[in-house]
Amino acid sequence: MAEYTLIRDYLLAIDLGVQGRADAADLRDELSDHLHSAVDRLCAGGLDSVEAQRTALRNFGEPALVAQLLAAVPPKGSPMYTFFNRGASYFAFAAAALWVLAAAGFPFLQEALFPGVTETAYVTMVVMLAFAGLLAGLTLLAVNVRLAGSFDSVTTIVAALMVLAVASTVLAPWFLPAWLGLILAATSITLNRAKPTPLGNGSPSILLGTVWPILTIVVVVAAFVISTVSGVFTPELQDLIQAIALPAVCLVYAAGMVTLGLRLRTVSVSQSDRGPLIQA
Amino acid sequence: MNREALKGHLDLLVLSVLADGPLHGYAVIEQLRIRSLDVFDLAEGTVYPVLHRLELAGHLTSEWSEVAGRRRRSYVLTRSGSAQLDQQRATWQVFASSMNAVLVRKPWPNTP
Repeated sequence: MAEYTLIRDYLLAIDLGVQGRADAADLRDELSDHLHSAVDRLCAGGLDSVEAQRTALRNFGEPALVAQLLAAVPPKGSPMYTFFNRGASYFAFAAAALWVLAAAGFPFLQEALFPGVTETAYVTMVVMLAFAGLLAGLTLLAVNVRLAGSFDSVTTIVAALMVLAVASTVLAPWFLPAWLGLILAATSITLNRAKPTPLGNGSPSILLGTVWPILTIVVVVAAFVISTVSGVFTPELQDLIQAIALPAVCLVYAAGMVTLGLRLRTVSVSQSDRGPLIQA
Repeated sequence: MNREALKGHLDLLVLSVLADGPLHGYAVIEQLRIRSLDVFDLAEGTVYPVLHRLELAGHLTSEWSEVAGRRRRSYVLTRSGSAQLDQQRATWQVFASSMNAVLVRKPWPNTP
């Protein structure tokens, strides 16, 4: 195989942009094969080897741009890609199931409806909500990774919000504004990002991006009002409201998770749906 | 042809070329050029991220061989890729026929 110095230098420039990847050697071999094939073809057409290399490299594109585009696609077999893409819909469906169970469990925690609520029932509910939040968080991360093509800064923010949400659920489950507020922030950021793409447009963005946030804010504010304004609401009425309102919040979120799970299963986000577009 | 115009259609074009059989990256680009009668003149390096993304999505698989002392990676359309191609082709045909219907010149004078 002939040694082409311009191609060698070009491949070194590409290497800088993809270094550290598990498939860096494969990428180099693949591009090398392409460029050598192109030069062989151009030389056969009458160009000398230097001019053929220049033409082949010009046709291939700027090394910095090519390296950037190559680096934006996770390596085949990447554990992060596999974790957040292949299994993502299962996280969503499992989250939906737990949110439905949580919705069914809330009425049983209301003393007025079911006197003698045990500590075990309370702890079970907290654990269920924590796992529901964890799985919802993994689903939101999967959506972000799929949209960005990597674990970018927005995905990191969503991850941090969901970790805090799960921690708040465990440490202060009675303080709805904390854990519901953090889930709301993470969900809104994600759906706002996914809304213009096939992953989030239509039902996921209507349910999780509009209906659920409004319902959640109304319920959290109402819960705050009825627990602080004394004499207006009897304890029985407070329990009754919470037995209806909180399950409604959980059920709408579960429905949103199902729609998101279905999208994660069927939609392949193309590069053109992401921020930086391929310059064809 | 303006390269911007091909944005968003590369998946369909690459899947369509690979529907005829396995090809390596250089051959994919050659086929795109030949089948478009030299109209689609791509920055060749931008086709590889498309191939890799389609492989990650399960629409393609790849295998390595050795040719002229070089490692060569060839891509094959999977069943999922074939279904994706059918879906994208149908979407494109609706889009193209709708565009044509809108763009067609009406004879003058335009009688109702």
